[in-house]
Amino acid sequence: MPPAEVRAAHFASAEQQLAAARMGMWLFVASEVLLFTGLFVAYAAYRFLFPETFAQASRHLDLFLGTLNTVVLITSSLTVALAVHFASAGRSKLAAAMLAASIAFGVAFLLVKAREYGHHFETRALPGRHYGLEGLTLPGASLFFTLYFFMTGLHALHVLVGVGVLGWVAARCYRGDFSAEYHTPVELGGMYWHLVDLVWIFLYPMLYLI
Amino acid sequence: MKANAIHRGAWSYGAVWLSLLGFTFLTFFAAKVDLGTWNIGIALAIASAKSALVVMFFMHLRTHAATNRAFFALAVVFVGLLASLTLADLATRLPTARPGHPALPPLGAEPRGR
Amino acid sequence: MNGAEAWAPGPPERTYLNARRGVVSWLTTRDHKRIGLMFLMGSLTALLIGGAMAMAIRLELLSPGPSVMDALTYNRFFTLHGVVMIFLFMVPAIPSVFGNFLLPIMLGAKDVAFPRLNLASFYLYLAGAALALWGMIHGGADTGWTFYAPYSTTTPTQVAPILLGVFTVGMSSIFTGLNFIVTIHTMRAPGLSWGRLPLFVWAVYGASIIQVLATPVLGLVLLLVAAEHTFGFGLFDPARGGDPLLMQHLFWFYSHPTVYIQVLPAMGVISEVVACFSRRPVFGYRMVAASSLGIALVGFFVWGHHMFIAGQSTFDSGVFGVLSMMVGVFTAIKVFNWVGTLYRGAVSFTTPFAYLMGFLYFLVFGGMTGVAVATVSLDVHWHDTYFVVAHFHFIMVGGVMMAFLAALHYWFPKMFGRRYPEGWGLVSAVLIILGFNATFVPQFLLGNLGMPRRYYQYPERFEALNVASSAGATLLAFGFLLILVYLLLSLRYGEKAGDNPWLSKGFEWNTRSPPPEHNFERMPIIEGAPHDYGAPPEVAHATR
Repeated sequence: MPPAEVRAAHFASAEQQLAAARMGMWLFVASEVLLFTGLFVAYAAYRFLFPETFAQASRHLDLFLGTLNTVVLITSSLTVALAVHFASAGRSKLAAAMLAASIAFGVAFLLVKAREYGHHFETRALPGRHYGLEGLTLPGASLFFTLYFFMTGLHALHVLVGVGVLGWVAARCYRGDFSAEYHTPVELGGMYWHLVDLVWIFLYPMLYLI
Repeated sequence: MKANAIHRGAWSYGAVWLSLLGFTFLTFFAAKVDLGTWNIGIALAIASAKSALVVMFFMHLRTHAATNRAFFALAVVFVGLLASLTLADLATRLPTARPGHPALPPLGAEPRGR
Repeated sequence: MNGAEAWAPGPPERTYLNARRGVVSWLTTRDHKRIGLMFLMGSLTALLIGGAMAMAIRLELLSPGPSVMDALTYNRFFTLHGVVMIFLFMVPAIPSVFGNFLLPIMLGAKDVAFPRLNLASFYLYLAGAALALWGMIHGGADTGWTFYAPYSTTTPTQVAPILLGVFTVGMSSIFTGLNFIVTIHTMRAPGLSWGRLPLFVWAVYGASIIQVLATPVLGLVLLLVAAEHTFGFGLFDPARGGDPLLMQHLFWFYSHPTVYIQVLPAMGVISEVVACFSRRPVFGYRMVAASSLGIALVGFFVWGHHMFIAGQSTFDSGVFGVLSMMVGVFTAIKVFNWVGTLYRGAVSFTTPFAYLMGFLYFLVFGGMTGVAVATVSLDVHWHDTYFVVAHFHFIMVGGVMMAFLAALHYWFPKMFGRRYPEGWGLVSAVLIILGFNATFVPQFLLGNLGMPRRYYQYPERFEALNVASSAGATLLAFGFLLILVYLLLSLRYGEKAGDNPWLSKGFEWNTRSPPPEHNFERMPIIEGAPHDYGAPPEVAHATR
């Protein structure tokens, strides 16, 4: 059952509303890209200044867990894409199931990340003045970990928000709020999740594969 | 939508997913080979290819309005702008004004008190 | 604000002001006009606070030695002045206030595309402003509004809440910009093609793109500085290999274009005012519209001109210096076209028009000194002196403030259905323009003589010019208070304006003043360009 009022009163048509919603989301995505760009540029600058330090610091990260998380996040993107696909075909329950799977992947990602963080705290591979990693005293080493924590932390925050968004959309999907004609929240929530994936696609080689 | 069409659509997402996995392992193994400065270029090229797949197919930028493509492209241009002019500064700056220059007092990884 | 009933002979008109009543109806409104008014109140409060700070600074600088405050208080005051004026007043002043109020009406839409997001944007602004102001009272910051590392990351003052406050205000700005872009793209009335868009809309569009794409970089760098100050993350700490200049790069990537977030909508206002009061459509419409986008784009290529003497490479300085001058080209296109509009126009000398003249003068002189300071060799002498202070005040106060006041007077009848006293309007315009000159022309001279900015004391030979500057500031403050008084009085006692007191053909006058709740009784269909006055006899008359 599509809800009675899917079109807000100030729009002339449902098409106009959908176009506006999509454009708004793309602008938001663009804005988020620029948010992470600041960190990417800081990373590029310091890697340029301290190439050897960054290469060695990278080896103190757990490559296996990083790769595992990459696969987890890519797969969660697939399930989200499928959720949008099924929602657009009117298969709301199936879409809700796909979203639930994505949430599970998202939580798994966060758990793996938490495990990595735990290890960093043990070895004091920490940012700035908290840095005290044994065996890596090259200049600029603490900068790598500042960037690492800021980048992955900001990303994890986005994952957390994404899990919340997907949960809300999944619940509405399951309740039957959406139809083949109107499923904009599924689409936009999905785009947000893909954005999270997009950022990680760059973080993975930059942090783990030097 | 017919059941067939639904299935076909779902499988095409599966194909995108497989390519993303393929790229992930490609970048993983490319990083194992020492190619000097080429490594970072290859890693970024693969990451860009992966994100193009995500943006175009998963996020449907391919079929959304052209304006949205323009906005996304503009964002990418600004990413390049910020990165290039900032790095150009570091690359061409007076060496002694660059952190970590040997002529400067040595930096320790251990923080100095202030 | 609901004084309309007292005058109306029949049943009171239903306007957006009286359609719903009570404080709650304002606080939960999704009407872009009411949100615009709430932004107006917010930014005027910020203007009052920032202005009081400025007066305190000028009071201290009246004499060479320490006088009314100690050095730390002085540092706090100029920091607060900058933060409040830039982030809480200038950035939202024209886009969030007049953009919100007018954009949907000019487009022939019932509202912006995302009304709830619009309200959220206001509350983010409010929350950010509250946080920043709380931080200012609770310890303050003494870093200047630029928050340069490593000083900002080691100062004992409380920078973190202020940084987070500005971050929150930035989010508000992003959402406003996003909302406007989508509104312009998707909500235009039938017949309103891009070639017929009012120039104000074009200008706000350019500014919105900057808001969406540049503000996140500022947000990030503020978070980094706050984290470094609070948790010692040391990303810009030279002792750990950090590069303070990197912080400046990221900061100015937003903070230079932010000037255009302020100036572009100001230019949009001027385009509307110049057309209305010379009774001609703006000369060279296409070029003026395109130059708005040109400024928005080129504005992103010039941030390094703030770092000529900060240790940036000479290569980058050269590139940034040359690119900076390109902004002058686009600005000149606009100025020439406005002057071309005035030429042979049927000019009526009203208060908005007086501010228009002020704007042109300040923009030209501020802009020319801008080209001068974009020259690397000259900037070495002028950097961080009062010359630069005077330069950007010419653009930001002289330019943006003049346009803000022009907008406030021009659209006052639109917003409230009442007129302000024209005589008092002109008096205060003269006071403000004179006061402004008296404040900042001496600062040009001081800077050229070598007086550095942000210094608490100065040698005695600079005293005369500083006294002149402080005297000018007093005149300026008096002008603003005068405006405040007569506008507040006009809200209640002003003459009823009717729907279109200026007989303007701008699209926003297509509906009643003040507009009804959903802007139009019947949705408009646009059949021509804005400000199409035809060729009335007065024009032919005025040419000879």
